[in-house]
Amino acid sequence: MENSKIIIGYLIYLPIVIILTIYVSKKLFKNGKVFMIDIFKGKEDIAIATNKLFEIGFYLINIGWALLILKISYYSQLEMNYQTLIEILSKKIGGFSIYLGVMLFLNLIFFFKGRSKSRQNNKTLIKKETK
Amino acid sequence: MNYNIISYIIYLPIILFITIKVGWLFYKNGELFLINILGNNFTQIRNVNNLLLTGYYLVNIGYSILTISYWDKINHSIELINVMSSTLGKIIILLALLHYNNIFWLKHLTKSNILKQ
Repeated sequence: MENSKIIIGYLIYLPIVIILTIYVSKKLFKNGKVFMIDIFKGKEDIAIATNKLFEIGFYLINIGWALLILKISYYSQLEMNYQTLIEILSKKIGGFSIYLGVMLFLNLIFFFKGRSKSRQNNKTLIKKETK
Repeated sequence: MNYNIISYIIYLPIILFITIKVGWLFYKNGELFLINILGNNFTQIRNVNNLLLTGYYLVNIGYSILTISYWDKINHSIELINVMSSTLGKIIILLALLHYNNIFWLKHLTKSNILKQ
């Protein structure tokens, strides 16, 4: 087949991307549980449920994006050689991992914002009670 | 059999599996939030949750079936992978955006509820 190298590229790209997403989200949400328990003031069941919901969202958005950018467009009369394949794959996987890093920091910002907001609410509640 | 029909046969089970699995996870984890918002009226909570799940299934499965009518013509196997992955990716990102929208509404509602108490 003339385009079999593109399929090899897909077969290399998909496992790497999916394993990377699963690894990052496992790491992020294992550590995010502590933040959630802090935000919801020790109500553990609702903290774990929120954490789970954010985890599902993270998986969906990242795997969706990975599938969306899968397409390798190669318009040339020449047969694709391995050098081109490696260059295309490096562009795709590197770009995806930078995107994943940005999403990770975005989620961390959510956690920190939620925590500072819940602390502010706590302070105002305490002030009202003392008045 | 041409490539279009093969791609529909591969596409439909995948998208149905993803939609049903994600909806079931939301159903299970969202009950606590509804308890937080609506109080301890368990029958009402179960009814609201079931209605939400039904609406979610209708919207998402309906949309994913609708995309079949806008499918491109597929000529060889690489185009099959390209078209299928881009459609699946679009639908999954749409799901994620709807889901984040829901989370922000829940946050807003629970916060106003806490302040009221």
